[in-house]
Amino acid sequence: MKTLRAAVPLMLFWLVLTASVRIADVVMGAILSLLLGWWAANTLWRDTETPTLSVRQTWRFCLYIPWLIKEIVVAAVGVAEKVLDPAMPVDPCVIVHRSPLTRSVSRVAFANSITLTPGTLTVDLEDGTFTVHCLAPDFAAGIENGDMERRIHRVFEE
Amino acid sequence: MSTLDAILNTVAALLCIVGAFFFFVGTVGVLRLPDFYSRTHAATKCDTVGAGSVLLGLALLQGFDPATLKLLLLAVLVLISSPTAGHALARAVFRGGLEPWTRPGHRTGGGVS
Repeated sequence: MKTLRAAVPLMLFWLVLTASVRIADVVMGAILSLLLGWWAANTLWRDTETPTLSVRQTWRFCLYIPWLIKEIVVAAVGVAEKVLDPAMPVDPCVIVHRSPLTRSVSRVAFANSITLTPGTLTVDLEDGTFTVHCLAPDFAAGIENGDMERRIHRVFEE
Repeated sequence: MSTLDAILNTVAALLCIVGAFFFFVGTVGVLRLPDFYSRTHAATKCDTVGAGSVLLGLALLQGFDPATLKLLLLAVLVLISSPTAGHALARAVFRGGLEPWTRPGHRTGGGVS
């Protein structure tokens, strides 16, 4: 079961990369995906469950992406202003944020969203405690007001 | 060339220019910012936006084609690998005990929320 869960996305990836439906290509892809999937199931995921998302969670995740991209662009402009300003008004600070998120998939999503947003960088993550380095205190606001966290919670934990 | 093509090409060119601009900002940031952590910000983040919009522009230019899917896959790869690499770098240095630079007179630590 785990083997198949790893092999199916690999097969889709192969189909996109080869962009061909010739029998030889497809058979080769199937063999390689199954081999790699079997390897992943027996090494990477031997002692853990594969992360699973319900259809609704996947859909909500797709809705979350555009919001995240908007946040990234807004923050990128903010960082660009600070970096190009001759006075360079950066004022780095480190904040510690305790998060109520419990699933590891949502913690990873939250940590990666923070790092992906310019101006904030997750430097450490332990049991739901996020240590975040911010280029300036105003970038920290987006984490401390809990907006991103609430959205992640809605995607993965409801 | 139809009007639609002209519009698409213009949008694609603008996206590539915006991408190049953010690569430039990222490079300037790496050179100007004061310490390791803030340089990691510049190196990983501005590049994400830069690579993202250049790839999106190229995908628009390519139109409907298997290569478009490959370009979009590349964008997804950058969006996943770049923060992961940035976090790995910062975490290694943080656990190694490097104190982040702060403006003289300001204290680190901030509020615990």
